[in-house]
Amino acid sequence: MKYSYYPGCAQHGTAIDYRVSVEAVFRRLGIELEEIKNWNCCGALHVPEKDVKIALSTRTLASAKGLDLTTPCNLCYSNLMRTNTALEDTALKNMINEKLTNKYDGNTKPKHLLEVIVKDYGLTKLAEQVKLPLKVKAVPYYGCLLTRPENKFDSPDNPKSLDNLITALGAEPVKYYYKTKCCGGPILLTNEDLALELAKDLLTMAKGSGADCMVVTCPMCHLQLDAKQKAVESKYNIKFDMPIIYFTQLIGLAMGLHPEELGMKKHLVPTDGLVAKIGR
Amino acid sequence: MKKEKIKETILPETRDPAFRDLVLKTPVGEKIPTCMQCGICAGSCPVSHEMDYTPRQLVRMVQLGLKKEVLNSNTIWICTTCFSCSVRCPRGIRPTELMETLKPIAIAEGIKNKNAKFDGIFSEVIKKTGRASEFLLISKYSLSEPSMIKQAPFGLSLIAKGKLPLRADRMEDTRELEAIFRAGEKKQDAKGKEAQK
Repeated sequence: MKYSYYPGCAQHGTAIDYRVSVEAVFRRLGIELEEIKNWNCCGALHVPEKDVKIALSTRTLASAKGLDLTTPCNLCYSNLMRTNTALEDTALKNMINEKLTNKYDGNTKPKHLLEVIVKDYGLTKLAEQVKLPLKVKAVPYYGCLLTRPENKFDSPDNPKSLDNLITALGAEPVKYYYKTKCCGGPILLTNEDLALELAKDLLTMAKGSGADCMVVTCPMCHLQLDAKQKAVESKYNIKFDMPIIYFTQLIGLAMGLHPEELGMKKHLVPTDGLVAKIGR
Repeated sequence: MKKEKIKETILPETRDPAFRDLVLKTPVGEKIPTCMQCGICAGSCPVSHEMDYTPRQLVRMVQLGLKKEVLNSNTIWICTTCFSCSVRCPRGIRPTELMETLKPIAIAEGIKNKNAKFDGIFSEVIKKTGRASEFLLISKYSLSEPSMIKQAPFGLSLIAKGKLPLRADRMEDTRELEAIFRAGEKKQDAKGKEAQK
């Protein structure tokens, strides 16, 4: 299995832990990720001029060289999906192609890494790789942009793919009503109070569900729920101590990899309790 | 941002049909006349309680052409772009994309706030380096936004974990990206001129 790989900006900064775990896990699963040369930012949610934003993702889609394109980030994924839809407008596609050296034909299929694991690799095959069934309770938290707005991969309101992944690894996905409710990540710098309020709601429900950790698929969700958890705790005077784990780290743990190989020492909320419970 | 209060009676002179038409001819605008004010967008929105006007109200205000109130509302800026409203709207309107459409119009009209400032910094960083280095974004934004001092412990905690590399990640070659941004800036200027008319 081979994919064209678009890491996204966070993998070189705040999501260094995600990057380490993706590399470790995908190598062991034998899934080849070929990083796009000279890739550019997708514009996230902060490039107001629409044509510019579409052009940014078009340039990325054009670099896939006939392979399916995969990305670890919900924002990048959503932008790539939306760009494909926008480019059904041929006039727009031609206009943008004029500015690009590498022209885009409109045929690249973007996939989130979770989709690669769940659909392409398959959970039955993944379950065979499990050396250490996890025996913990985990919140399947999808965030907004994995399934919205172009809901081609899973349901936008009640997705199941991450639940099924957690089950395949021997853990138990808890019932969680905020599966796809916004974490507040996109406004964490500009509207901090509101961002913290959204994170507080998610963490409160996670704690109430009796979960040992929350599993995420997006660097922005991780930043908001892990790195900002302390700020939420002090603002609302609640103690959560809720480890936030990338789904790739969860897979790695179940495959018997060491937490350090998965970048877990880089988390702001300590994961030692969870790791001990798993039996590493 | 000062909330522009809607008067109880909307007088013809407060309505701007040109603004309404400008929005209606965009891709998202096409379905806006079909809104039946059911409010599922506002009910689905995780941040509507902090908005001057809920997404439902904003759609109606666009229909009425209430330009000043729409462009000055905080609604279009605190939308987190989660798309909950957009996948639920029974008319297939995407209020999220309405917010995205209104942002550059507001910027062209000279609306200034911290969200617009952040978007400006973000675009500038990508144009120059091709990548969104969190360190550059946070430091540039903090320099122009004094309230960011509150978030200093957050920044420092990231640095301590090696998650905020001070050397900005960048593309090997940014020429193509600069061309993309230049074309966008030309368009934005044209929009500004159109708005001045």
